[in-house]
Amino acid sequence: MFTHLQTHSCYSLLYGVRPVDEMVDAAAARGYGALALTDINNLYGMHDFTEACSRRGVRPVIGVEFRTDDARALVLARDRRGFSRLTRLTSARMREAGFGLSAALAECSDGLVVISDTPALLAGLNGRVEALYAMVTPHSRRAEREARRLGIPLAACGDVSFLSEDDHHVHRVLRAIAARGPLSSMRDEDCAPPGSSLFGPEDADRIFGGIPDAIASTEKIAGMCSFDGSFEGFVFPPAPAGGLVPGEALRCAALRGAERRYGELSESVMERLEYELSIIEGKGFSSYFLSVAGIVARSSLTCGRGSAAASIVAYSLGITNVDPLRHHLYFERFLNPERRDPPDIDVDFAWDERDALIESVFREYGSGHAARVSTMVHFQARSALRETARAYGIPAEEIGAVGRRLTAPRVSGAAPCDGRTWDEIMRVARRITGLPRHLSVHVGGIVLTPGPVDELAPVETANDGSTLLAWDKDGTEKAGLVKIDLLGNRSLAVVRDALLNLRENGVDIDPFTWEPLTDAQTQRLLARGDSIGVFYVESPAMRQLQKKTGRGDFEHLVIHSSIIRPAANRFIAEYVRRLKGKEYAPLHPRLDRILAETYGIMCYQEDVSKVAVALAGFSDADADGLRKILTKKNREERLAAYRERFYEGALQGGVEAAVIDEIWSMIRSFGGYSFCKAHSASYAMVSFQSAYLKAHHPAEFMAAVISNGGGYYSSGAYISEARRMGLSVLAPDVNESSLRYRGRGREIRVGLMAVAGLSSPTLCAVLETRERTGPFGSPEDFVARVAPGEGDIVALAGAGAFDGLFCGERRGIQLRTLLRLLAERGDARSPGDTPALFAPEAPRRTLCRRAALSMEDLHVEFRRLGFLCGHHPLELWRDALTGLSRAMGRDLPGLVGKRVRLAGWPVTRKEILTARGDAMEFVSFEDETAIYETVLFPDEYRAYSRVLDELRPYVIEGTVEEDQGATSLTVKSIRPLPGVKVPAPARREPGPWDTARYRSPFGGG
Amino acid sequence: MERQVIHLNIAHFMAAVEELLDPSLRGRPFVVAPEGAERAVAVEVSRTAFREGLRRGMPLGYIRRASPGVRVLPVREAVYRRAGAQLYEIAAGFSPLPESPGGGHLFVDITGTRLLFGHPVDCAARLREEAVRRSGLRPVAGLAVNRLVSKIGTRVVKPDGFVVIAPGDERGFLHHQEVSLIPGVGAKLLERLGLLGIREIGELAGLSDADAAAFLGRHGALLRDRARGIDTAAPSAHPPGGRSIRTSRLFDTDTNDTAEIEAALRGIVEDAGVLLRSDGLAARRVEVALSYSDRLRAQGASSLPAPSWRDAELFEAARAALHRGMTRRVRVRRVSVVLSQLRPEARQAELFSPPGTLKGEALQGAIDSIRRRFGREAVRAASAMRART
Repeated sequence: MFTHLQTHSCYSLLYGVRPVDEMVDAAAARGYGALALTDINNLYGMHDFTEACSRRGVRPVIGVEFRTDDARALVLARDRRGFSRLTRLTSARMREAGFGLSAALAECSDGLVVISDTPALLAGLNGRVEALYAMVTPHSRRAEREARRLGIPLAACGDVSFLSEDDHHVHRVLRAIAARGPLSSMRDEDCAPPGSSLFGPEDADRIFGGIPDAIASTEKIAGMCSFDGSFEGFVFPPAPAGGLVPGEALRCAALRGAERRYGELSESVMERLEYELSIIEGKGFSSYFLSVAGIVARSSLTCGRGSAAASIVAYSLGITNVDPLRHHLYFERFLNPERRDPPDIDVDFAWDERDALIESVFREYGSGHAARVSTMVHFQARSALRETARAYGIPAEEIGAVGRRLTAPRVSGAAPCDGRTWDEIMRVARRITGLPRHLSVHVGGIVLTPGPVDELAPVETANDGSTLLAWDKDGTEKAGLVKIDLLGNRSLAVVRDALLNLRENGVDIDPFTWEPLTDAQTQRLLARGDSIGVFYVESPAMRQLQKKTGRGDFEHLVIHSSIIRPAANRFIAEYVRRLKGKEYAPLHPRLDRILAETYGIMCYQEDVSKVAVALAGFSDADADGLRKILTKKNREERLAAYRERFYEGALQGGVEAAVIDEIWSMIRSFGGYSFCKAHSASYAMVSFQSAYLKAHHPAEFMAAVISNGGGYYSSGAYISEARRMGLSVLAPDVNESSLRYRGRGREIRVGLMAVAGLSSPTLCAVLETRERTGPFGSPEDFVARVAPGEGDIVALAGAGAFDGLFCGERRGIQLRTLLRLLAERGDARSPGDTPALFAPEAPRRTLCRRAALSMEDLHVEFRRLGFLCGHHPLELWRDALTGLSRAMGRDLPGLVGKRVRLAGWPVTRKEILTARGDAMEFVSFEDETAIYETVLFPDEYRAYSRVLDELRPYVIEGTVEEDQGATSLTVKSIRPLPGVKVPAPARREPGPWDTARYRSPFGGG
Repeated sequence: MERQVIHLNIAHFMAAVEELLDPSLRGRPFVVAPEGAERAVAVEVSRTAFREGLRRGMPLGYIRRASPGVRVLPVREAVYRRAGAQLYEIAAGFSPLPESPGGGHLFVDITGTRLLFGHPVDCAARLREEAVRRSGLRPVAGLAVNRLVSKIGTRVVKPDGFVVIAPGDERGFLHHQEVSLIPGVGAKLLERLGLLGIREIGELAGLSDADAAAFLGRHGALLRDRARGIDTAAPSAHPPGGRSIRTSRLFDTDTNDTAEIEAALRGIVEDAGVLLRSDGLAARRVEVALSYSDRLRAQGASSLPAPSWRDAELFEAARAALHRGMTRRVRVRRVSVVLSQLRPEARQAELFSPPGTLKGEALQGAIDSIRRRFGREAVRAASAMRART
């Protein structure tokens, strides 16, 4: 019987149109018992393919269709050795500019089947490749004559890319997207032929009539290919050099580290250490721990994330910073004898140190033994619409306008009508949505291998030149490769920079002996929810929760950072009530102990597993499977199977159906993302460190927050927060500012990095010149020593950076003077420009009053900085606010139940869907006195959400409500505050300090 | 002798013509746009529509959503051309050199006509009255010593009025006007002037040469001169030797289909060819200008080895120019062709033309005579037909 040996899925990027499982489903439905997936030049879809095949009972044949400028060949893996050869070939195809298919196949084709329709290739490989076939397809028999002449057997190939007639049009759009050309000019030779659909076995006889031998070959070839894509065992990093075997080396390192952490080792510590070490060694993870410890040792400040934070070995090695004994963290969630998948260790590093760190790891292990994990970027609804519309020639502005309208949450049933062309674009875009677009680098995943990595997996070269695995993290895991996640974290840089800023100001805090957890002032700040800028607890929802609970201790913060999940609102409300003393009975007596510390509510990921074991009799491995599936994207089908088993097991255990329903709905609330306790504890430690700094050293802390690009809010919102904290925000100044924001006492000096339009070379010149030859004494001195460009002068003057140098002169006059100086300098510069005869005049440093800023000056400052140093941005609407009767944000708690009017600048917005599927929105506004939270219920959302799209202040009316001590405004109406439209802040030219590749001037790492 | 230039401007020209033809439209919001086209944009908006926020170039779909009651009138190019020609003719009665840059603007240089038409102010008033009386259109008019000042004058009094800036009064008139009124001052320049604290034309006019260059760059002095009312450009209605022939096609529905654009190009090259031959000329240079849907423009040019008057050769050159110019995949809204470097045609010089050429020549002659008798659309190259279907 005929077997399809040439099938392209959507992983033939911007070519194939169908997901792998649809191809497999279609093949199974047509009665095929085996199917080959041969995507063009890659193996991206291999894991999806083998999984789909095992679900549908189809035998997978794994291969690649190699295409080069002058040749094409299908290469199929017969066995594991052939697969290694295939990954090497695929890697070479993707990485080597001069890749020659014929030479590569001639060199080695052990374990492979080669099928080609390129006559020259067939002639070249004849006699050198054991299993060589000539390809005939429904569209081409060009190799037939040459094959007959050389005596090479024929193989019938379907050249399949489609499943339905409409697929061809979608394919042409994808080809146009790939070519960045108009759809109307796509040539036939750039596209698959229209009839490239998956045909049934009965059609094969008709299509390949007259060459039954070609059909017979397909079955024979499929039979030869026994490799089914499954892998056995884990691939760990190579053991570090040194005399000891990995197990011994780890034991020594762990004991040494534990002594550093605990001093004298108690019995409980020793017991836990021994227990963990035995499991780690038993599962072969010793070298992995040592590798991670070696990487972590290179950095100043790290934060272990994920379940690894529950390990005392990791804590001893400095990989994590939370004592698992003190905080009752369970090692089994990380590693247990039953666990079949490789658990990985994830570590956070300061965001600006991470790339350099990864580079150093690559240098140590060699790029042949180290690779970054990739992530496949898929078309999202918006990008599919944009790319399709571009292929149809629609200008960007129009695409943006239509896209915004279409992708806004559904506000009414009426479909927007934009004509036939847009109807067609939308139809195609819907088809394209979800298809893979291109391979990208995963943020922090790397694998280290003892042997050459390209024999284990296909690799490519990332844009930065590093080796990139052509599989994403799931594919990497399926192939047994144990990855290490090195992730960037801005808050670690915030803590680092604040500590360094403090040291400059004469305050020394040693991160290793620092004990913020017990600090009362820190706990009070957290209990008030005054945590803007504080790692992980600064979002409006989190701050509201802190306010409602009034708890700022570590144990509760760990609970709060876990319980805040999109799907857990109902349980959060119940949690707050129980915390405040509401009586409750455990869901089931068997869960009493498990959920005691979280008030009977499932909070951590491991609670899911524990409950499944205790209530439904799951094995540890199955319970872990249930926990994992909850976080996957396409979980519904598999989750349904778990649900059935859960109900069955619990009923058998005598649990009432109503109780099971309640528990299952709590389990469902872990869908999407959720955390284990160890992870939350590890993060809560960083929260405490940042909260401590905010409580005790607000200027240094807020300066570090803004310098590192903030977190949840914009720079402007942090500036407002700083002002509300009673800090003065000083304008950038060519003599006083550093690159970054700096804090001292009650003042924050804006860094030169904030000035939009200031070029990096001039910025560096300002800092270096000042460092080398002292502060600038006059505008003349500045122009002469820095030699700025005209744009730099305009940017700095607009931001107020010359106010100090000009002693109270208006900014327009400052600019005129500087531009004159610049022009004179340009005229004076001539060949042989001689050095000045006299030393620059002595710095003129007088304290001067800042000139009153005109409204125009304020607008310019806002454009340059994105905020105003001396005022809230509402100042720009001074005229419109005069005479408006309004309440102030800080007074809302005293106005509960009243209808009020406020002015507000939108700070953050969060759209959600109600249980009935209607869109609603939470919007945080700020006025001169406070940030306040508002709610737009579906009716108001429909009426006013779009009004909020502009960057400007609004007048908001509504009723003040209170819930458990947190106030919010239920919006009745919103209108823009009339007045000038403020130009959007200018785009700041990205400087080296904006990339993770930049090494902080504060050192570290 | 003191130069005197009148600037006439009819705001929202096409809409004004429509209002003239149908007085019931006056004061109502309406736009002019291709009828029935799927992706049409407004080519003109009425004054009332403008006040409601509608602008030229806005997609009709958007306009209908934003202002559901707005009326859409079809584009009647011939009507607007006639109205423009009539204004030109009226102006030509007052000056040998009226200049019409299009879009409802007209510059009339009446220098030295005092003996014929009386005092320049009377002359300008009469011209305006005559324009109103004969065409029915109501232009805003400015009289000044040059085009620049008269244009700034009309910008000041727009949308209706008559302004006279007497010789010597230029600086006084301009002094307190906003800098944004100077032709050529866009958003970017305006921002820079704002930073420098320069809001009025007088402040700009007061800059020294050095300051103008230091503050505003290379063209600073020129801009400062404009602020002083200095305009050295001569009216250039018929620059000697620089004549060109221009035809264009506005797509009702914008397109990025190369075949469709080429078909349209062939049509407009044929139109230009008719004009060329009717004047007994041949062209050496062919330029193709494209206006994309996002209002960006592009152009390409191509030179012929020798001046030609044959459609086929002109089209090949135009096609090469098109492909040079069309580098984006965004849809094209308008395609234009300009034939330049015109020379008297020299058919007799080609004594030894190959037989094919003579045949082509005969064909071209036959086509032209059909068109002369039955109109331009009577016969077309088949490949030019696609765009019309």
